[in-house]
Amino acid sequence: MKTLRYIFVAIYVLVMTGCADFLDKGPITSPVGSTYLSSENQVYSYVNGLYQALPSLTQYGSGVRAVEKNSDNIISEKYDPRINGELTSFDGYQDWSASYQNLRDINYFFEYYQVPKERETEGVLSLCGEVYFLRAWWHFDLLRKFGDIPLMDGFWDGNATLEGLQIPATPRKKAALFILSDLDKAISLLQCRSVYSGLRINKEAALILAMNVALYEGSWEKYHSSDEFAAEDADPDMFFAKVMEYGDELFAHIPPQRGLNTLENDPFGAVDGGEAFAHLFNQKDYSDVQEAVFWKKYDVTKGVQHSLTVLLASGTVDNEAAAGLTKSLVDTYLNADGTAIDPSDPDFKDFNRTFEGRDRRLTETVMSTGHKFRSVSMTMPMKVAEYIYDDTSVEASRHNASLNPPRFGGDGSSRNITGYHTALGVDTTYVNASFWDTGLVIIRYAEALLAYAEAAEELGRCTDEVLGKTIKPLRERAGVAWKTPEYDPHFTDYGYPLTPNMQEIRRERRTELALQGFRLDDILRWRGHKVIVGQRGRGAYIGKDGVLYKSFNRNDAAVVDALASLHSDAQGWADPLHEKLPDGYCFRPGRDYLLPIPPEEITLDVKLEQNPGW
Amino acid sequence: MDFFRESSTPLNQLKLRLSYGRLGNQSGAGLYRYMDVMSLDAADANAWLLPGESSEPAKGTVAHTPSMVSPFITWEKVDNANAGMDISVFSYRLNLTFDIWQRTTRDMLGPAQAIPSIGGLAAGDRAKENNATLRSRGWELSLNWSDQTVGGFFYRAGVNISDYKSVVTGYNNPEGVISNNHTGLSVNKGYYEGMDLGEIWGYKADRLFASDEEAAAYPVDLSFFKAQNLWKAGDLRFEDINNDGKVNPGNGTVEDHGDLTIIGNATPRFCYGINLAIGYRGFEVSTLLQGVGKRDFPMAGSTYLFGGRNYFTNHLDHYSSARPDGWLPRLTDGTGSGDADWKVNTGYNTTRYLLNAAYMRMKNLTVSYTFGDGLIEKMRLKGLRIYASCDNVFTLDALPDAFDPETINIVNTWAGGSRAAAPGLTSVMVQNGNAKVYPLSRTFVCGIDITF
Repeated sequence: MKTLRYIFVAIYVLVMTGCADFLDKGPITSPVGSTYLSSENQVYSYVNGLYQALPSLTQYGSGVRAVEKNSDNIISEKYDPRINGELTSFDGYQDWSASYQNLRDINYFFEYYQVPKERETEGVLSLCGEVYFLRAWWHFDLLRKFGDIPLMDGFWDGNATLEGLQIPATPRKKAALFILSDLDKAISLLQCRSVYSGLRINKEAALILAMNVALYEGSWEKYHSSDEFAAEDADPDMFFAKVMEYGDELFAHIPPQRGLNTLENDPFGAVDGGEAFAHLFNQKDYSDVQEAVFWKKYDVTKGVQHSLTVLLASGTVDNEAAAGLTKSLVDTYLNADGTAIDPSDPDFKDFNRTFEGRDRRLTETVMSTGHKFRSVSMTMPMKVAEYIYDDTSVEASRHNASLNPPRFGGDGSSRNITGYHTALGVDTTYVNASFWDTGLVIIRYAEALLAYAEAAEELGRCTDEVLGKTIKPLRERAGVAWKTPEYDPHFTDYGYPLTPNMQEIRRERRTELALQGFRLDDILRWRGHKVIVGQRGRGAYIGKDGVLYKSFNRNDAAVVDALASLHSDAQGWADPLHEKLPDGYCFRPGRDYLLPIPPEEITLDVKLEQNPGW
Repeated sequence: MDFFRESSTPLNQLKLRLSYGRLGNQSGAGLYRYMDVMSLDAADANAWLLPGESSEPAKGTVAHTPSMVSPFITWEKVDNANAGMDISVFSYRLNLTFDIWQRTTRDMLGPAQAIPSIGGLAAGDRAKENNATLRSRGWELSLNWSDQTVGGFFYRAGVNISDYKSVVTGYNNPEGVISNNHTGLSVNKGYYEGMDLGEIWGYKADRLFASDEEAAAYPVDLSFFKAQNLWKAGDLRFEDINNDGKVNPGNGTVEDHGDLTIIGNATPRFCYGINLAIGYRGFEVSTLLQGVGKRDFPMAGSTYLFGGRNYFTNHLDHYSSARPDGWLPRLTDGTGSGDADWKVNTGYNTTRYLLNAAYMRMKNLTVSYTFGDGLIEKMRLKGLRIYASCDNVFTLDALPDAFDPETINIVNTWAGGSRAAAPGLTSVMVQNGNAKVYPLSRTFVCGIDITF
């Protein structure tokens, strides 16, 4: 009987305590998220994770150096479907959902941040500033791609149901103001660049991002004022004024002569201003480069690495397909004396002449004779000169052996289709390795100067003083004599007249920021589809009378084949996409300025409306 | 039960079975989904080199945002109902077993509820819910006959066949967003009510454009797939089945699915096996046949269609001006607009490239002779048998030669592609089986069994 009682007790204990809380054991090795963000180190480990979503060079691929195939700076055989009007209404999904996922990670921080007041050091507050910066970053990303967007201003898991997420889009002007208000908070909380040498998000970076946001929205509202993409109660001047306000704050903090990596400021011992400019793209450590306001460090020994340097060393412009830089980019650079070139001048049929006496940024951005691909122990520098036939002398054969013209022949993505290889970012200390660790500048001081000048000109306030502290130092660094802007009849036609100042500001922007991922955004906000629609870009002069053509050894059957497959237009300029794009890019101005909101998103959130034309 | 034995029916056995049961299943629920667990990663491959925690830039430990908490999940309940009977008649010469069953999974942890992406939750991060009901119904029949005559002749025949079908009877997707790979729809929202598991949504496109002129004059707007001027002879001729002048997936919902229709079902139906044997005085010939009565297999996204790294001679059967009735689409170079060409021709489920995966295969054939008692006693053995057998003797199917019906789902990742299986995933190019797997071998075996 006693045994039976014990059995009953045992059964009772087992049955009645089965659902007791003390049996709910959490995992021992993972912390609970809602109480995690309570000390400085824990906040660091969370915020450091948020950096991963920022665009940067990944292990494979050309990254930002090749994205401008979505514009008139790069021609690629795998051209961008958006500028050819090939997107379908479902193609916005990836960008849309990725940005909102990043925003959820960010808002999670704000929801569960609980560092007690007494332990909120300046460092911890600066981390909060970083998160505000990142929230602005991802909303800005959405704004540029989709226009009116639902603002994710809080942590929404609590209402993550179909009913809870019936959220309308915020008109783009309000969205831009929200982004700027986040950046204002970031600016007030963040520490200066000097604390972490630009390796972490900082006050200067937030000021420059704010200038970019305000400039983007201001110019969008101005140039799209009377099309289907017009913003609700647009006020471009208010945004342009904000660009200048943020700029003044930045310049008070770090004046242009200190912020730019000029010959005098360059810590790597540049021999001229052009090289000081090049050093912003081919060095490993930008700690002492003030212009590198926010940059990402790479280190092969720690497994943080990329293959951009490797690709550039092989002459690859775009790792996805054969590609090349465009004639229109090359033609935009000024002469060293400050005058614009006349692209129809027959002198420019000479490949080498194209690079002589020009803006130094041209030769640092585009490969020309004498420019290295990497250490010369592995690859000869580029050299375009006439191939000598029927001469067996030692000098002639030495000359022929030293020739290294553009890789029209090459294989796969290392093949060049315009004659213009990328020079920007080539590291001449790189010999041979699978990966390399050149740093990547993400936000640069020069952006602020360009944004400032542009906003000032839009407001009619672009005085000589403004030009003197913005465009002039950029030019002078590149070895270009400063001249008061004059109207250039050959300047890129955006479809509407530009003032001489504006021509020069846009020229400066295109040349200073070439191959850094700005071009498409600029074309979109300027309503500049004229530079895309019906165009397909051109390359270097490949006519039989040009030195470029003559620099190839035409006794080599493979070379002859490669040259024969090059197509040129009637004037002899390379026209690589003539077969793929007989009518040029079919960008649809009534539609492709914004990406389509995913249709199922509109089905699920009935308060959303599709963008125009989709 | 003697009355039964003594009764004069031919029945030797008659058994009726009826069962019902409920089981719990917690395998889909995960251990800690009711808490917001932060995962710490001390060796995150994507971590940046950042100073702060330490003065030197270091990767440090990275804390990742938890998935959405699922506070109310519980186990799934699986109800099984089964009715069956076993019958033996004619002195156990005919045996029959028949079962009919229904399995209902209630409170199933289905794919997460369809919510807008502005919630910032990837499908796998959403709160799980016990929100789905899945009902499967099926039957199985097995029939065996064996007999022998006084002369030493015997024979045996057996057939078993089964079939089932699963339907989603409850799922929280009121908009009816369709989820299916290879349709041009961008996202997988899970199930919808009334969905047959394994169904394949696709486009009707039975033939290729015969000429560039036909493609240019085609009155239907195909710009959903690629620009109108890129269509050429040898491209798929998508048909406008809802007569709205264009081919597209509409809104991708059950209500408005544009020109998408259910073109087939990948679930194998009517799986069967047949056993046959005849023998005479020690000789015996036996065989096993197996097969599937009905099954569709979409080739969309398979490297079999778009090349990859290796080719079969069947690939020569592609469209060209010399071969206008080639089965495969025209050759394209895969760059620039060619990139769209091959994706459009090979990346979508279409009726043309939907294979009939039904088959019958002789899995085994054995011929043997067992020696009689007299002989083996002389040899002081207990048993002696010689035999010859062959596996995978022949297959009747309608598949291209390179595909085997039993390995059709397998993707050889080394030959390009991922292992993700359709339906469920969304990219045009997530591929299905690509035939680039080691084929099943046909084996011949001869042997002697000796028992001492």
